[in-house]
Amino acid sequence: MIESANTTGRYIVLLRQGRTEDGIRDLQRVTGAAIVKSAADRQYNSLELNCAIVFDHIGAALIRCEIAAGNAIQMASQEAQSNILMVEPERSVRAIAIPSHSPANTAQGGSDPTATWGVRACGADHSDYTGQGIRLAVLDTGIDLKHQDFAQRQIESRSFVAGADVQDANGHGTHCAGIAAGNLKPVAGPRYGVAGQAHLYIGKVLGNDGSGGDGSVLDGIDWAVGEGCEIISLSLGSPAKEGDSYSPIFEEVAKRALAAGTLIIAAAGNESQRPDYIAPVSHPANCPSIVAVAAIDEHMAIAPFSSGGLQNDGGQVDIAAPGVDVLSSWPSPKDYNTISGTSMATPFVAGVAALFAESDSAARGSVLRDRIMQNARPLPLSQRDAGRGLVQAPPHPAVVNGQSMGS
Amino acid sequence: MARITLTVLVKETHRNRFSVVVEDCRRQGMAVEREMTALGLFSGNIEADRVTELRAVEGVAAIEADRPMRPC
Repeated sequence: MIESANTTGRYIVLLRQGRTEDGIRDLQRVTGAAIVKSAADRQYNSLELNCAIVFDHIGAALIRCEIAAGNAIQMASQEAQSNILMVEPERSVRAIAIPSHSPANTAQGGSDPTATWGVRACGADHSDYTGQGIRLAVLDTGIDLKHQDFAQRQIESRSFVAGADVQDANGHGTHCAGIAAGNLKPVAGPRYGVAGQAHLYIGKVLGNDGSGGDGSVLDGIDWAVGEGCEIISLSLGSPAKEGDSYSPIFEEVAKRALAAGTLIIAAAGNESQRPDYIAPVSHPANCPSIVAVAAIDEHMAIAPFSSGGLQNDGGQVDIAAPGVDVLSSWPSPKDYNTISGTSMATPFVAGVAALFAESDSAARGSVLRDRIMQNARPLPLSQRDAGRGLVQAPPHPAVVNGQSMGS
Repeated sequence: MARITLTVLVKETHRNRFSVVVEDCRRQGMAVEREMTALGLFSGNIEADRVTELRAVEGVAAIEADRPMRPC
């Protein structure tokens, strides 16, 4: 952890959802902090040494302690079953820039070699589910079928781009597929995939230069629905202007897909330049029946580029997911890469959707969408920016949506 | 006359006559490239000044010109 002149000597600690009390107990154990106050006291500025304030609604705590204790919290956050998810020094100013590119630390989750920060932030590493038996379509630039982490997987694939095969010469599609459904134990590096045992359907709808159009995307959606995919991940879009209405065709397609049991999840778009300019949600994520995904960084701040929910009637952001400095698969010989975008956030939601779909065979279409939304973790961000909050994986059968769920 | 690429959505009530709607649009000059039967739509291209005639074809719910898509 980096301490600097811009930090306050206090730490923000994110606790596991629904386990706030256990997390506080762990926090007291590792730091020796004794006095815990409720956030209702609002004593933020006079917080004494070795005291903590708990934010019950968001499952986080603010603690003042020595650097050694801060490091102890960091160590605890990397234990396998820890109720402390992450810790960072509190900043005296709000970060507005994209965090620097640091795949060795940030993207791989500090010194924790087991899972990327994104996989941990959405709780996939502690989920009992892996997406087994769920068909998950990623419509993008294809995939590197010879990649060391995918060569052994059963993957259905088809190209909808004239003159191009599924093999990904761009990288974007391989990265997105990796986030959604990369192996639970990749050949090298940390786990970066959410639904490691989902059945991948790869539709190449963007060329190797990244370009495509509505026609190829709709063709890919039609294929995935016809194949019975429960989830479609669309890390693509076309920028919309403020005041633009959504596409009636994509909306009707999304409704027909929902009726067939297929949920479409799409990137909100990267057109914002925060804090000066917030762009509206892109097409087709701006359709009411498509889930629009915003990007947040490791510190739970909205990504500067992430489009915002400036309009009603579909133009809202529905949910947020990790989308800054995300490590995932990349075509050989590079094999892995760390990049940012709402494109990266989208397959996190698609992967979590696969876990929910596996957890309950009745969770399909709009029921699946509602399940994901209801289980999102509220963030201290506006609904305009992050919708219902950070996407969260179903942990155990007994606590999905607060009800007992058979799998 | 320039040709435009577009997508045609077939009305829910006409999905069981999908091929008839496609054929009627072909007769209006549309070169159909993709038929998406699971969802009930098709795409292709047509001379820009003939789009109006396409809209009048029975069973056509909506027509949209193709937008460029890119990774986010």
